[in-house]
Amino acid sequence: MATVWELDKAKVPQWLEVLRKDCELIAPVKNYGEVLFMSSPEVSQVVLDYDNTLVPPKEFFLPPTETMFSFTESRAGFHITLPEEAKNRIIFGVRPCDVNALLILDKVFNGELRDEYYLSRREKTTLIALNCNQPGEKCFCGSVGAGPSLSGKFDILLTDIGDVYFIEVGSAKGNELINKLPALFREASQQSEEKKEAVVRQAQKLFAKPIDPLEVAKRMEAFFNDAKWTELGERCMECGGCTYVCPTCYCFDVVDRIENGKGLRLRYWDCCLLPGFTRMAGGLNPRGSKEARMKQRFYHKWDYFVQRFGMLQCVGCGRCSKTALCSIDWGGVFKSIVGGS
Amino acid sequence: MKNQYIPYPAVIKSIERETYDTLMFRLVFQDSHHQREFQYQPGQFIELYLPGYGESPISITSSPTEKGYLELCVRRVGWVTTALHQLNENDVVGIRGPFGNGFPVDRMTNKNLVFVAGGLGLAPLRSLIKTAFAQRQNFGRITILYGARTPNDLLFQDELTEWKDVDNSEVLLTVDVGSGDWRGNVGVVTTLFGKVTISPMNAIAIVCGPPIMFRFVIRELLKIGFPEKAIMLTLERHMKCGIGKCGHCNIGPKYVCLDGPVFTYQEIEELPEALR
Repeated sequence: MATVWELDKAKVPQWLEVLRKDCELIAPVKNYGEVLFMSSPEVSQVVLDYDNTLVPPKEFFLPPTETMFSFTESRAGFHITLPEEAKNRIIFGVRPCDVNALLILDKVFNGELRDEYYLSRREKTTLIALNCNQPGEKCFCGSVGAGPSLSGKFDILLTDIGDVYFIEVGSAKGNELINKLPALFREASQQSEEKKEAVVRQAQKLFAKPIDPLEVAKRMEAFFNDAKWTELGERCMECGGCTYVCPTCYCFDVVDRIENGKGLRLRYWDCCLLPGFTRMAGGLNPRGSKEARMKQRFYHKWDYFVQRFGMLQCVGCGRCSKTALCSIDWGGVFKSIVGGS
Repeated sequence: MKNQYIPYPAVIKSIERETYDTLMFRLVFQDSHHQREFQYQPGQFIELYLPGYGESPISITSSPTEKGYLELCVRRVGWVTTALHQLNENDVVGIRGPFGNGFPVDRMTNKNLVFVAGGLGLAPLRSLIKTAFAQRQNFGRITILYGARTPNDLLFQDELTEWKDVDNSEVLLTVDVGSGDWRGNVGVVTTLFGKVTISPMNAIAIVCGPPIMFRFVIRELLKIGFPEKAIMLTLERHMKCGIGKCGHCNIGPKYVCLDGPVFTYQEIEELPEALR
């Protein structure tokens, strides 16, 4: 059975119709001029010509707010009810940087102490990735080895080679999606395969070359006491934007809320740049300055995470630079400290 | 698969007043099977849950040598602990854990132990102190230096008196500000170093208190000649999950909830903000 296929671009809507039949389909649509992932869109709304979505698909695995459990209280104590289990889903059109971002989040939420909320959603989701042929304005995925193309690590990978998508299947889950309507696809020709290789090579020329994560961490360490951090810290407006649009930021807070007599334990995104992030009861705050918080975010991504997991916690998607009110150019900071083009 | 975020219900069996703002809670899990399964090390912590209020990371104050219950010494400081202080015996709270590494008790065998605590910092150390006194023959000299703001802030006063009377053990107290009938030492905890002979030979120092105390006590211990790896600290952080996911207790490449809360000074001296 072939693992490489071709699909005429004109047939993509037909495939999407099939995919959305038995499970939730999430795909990029254009809304108010921005491309965003949307759950269960009309097939006609789906777009495929975009640099990247404004926000990453992180929200489908680690929602901005989620109920961890609900509870009721009685004289005998409290009773906990777990939320419904995750359902099968397909996310269509995920860029290589965002696929790599999920592999980073997997490292955090997996391990000896598992986070079942994230992991069950991850297991129930099939990713249809889409290689990048052109870098966006703020992209630096090449420097951090997270793009512009994927090799392995996907369920299905599409590459735009003109009028057709070259399709690679990387998992059994991916294979199922081809088998839903095999008649749509034809086995990839030698010519298409060569075309795909050429497209990927050409794209790689447009993006920077990857730098070894350990080398990144080493160069970061040399900059620890640089005056740069004071300046960047002063510019931070504590909006949290950079972390919310980041595909690899995962910090969260957990709070209780009572709604209509029912208790909810809610987890929501938190942000290490906000002053209360490390504040303890009694008011003590070990990371009390904007400079220290700014440094924390950069070093966590490009040094501490490498020390802990052997990989960078940044995929160079550039969303932080596009979003944050402070106009800090994270890719620019990366290049000025670490190097790369 | 075990959901790490689900608290186990535990009943408050007794509440003892330690000081005007600090209470000692004795807890027993509702599920007797879970009570038996719940094994911990001195120095570990739990997440204490009050439905409708939230969680708070609290160090375990009892010793694993005491079976069948768990003790938490809690000061009324924030949202959750203030609510906890309103509860009564037989009320039910939630507990997740135990989390963190705890003290390496095995590596302390036959060593002289020097405890230095400030304020509520004695609460996490009490677990190890009680463990050491329960197996007294396994340890060398035990020295406890303890400081609090005022005489009314001193915790575990009866136990401190008991420990003082045990052979080859000493307890020295101090307060920042004396009052009426206080005849003891007045001054910060480092002033006690001049009143007792402490040798770094075959010794481990165990320190817990506010960050400023850490800095001064460590300076004192290094001056006496304690190697950096023989100084153990237990750190406080705003730990939300206890399992290394939420990011709140991250210091450099370490997570206080996973790699700590017990660290040697050697492990953290280079880390940013560790002692802030």
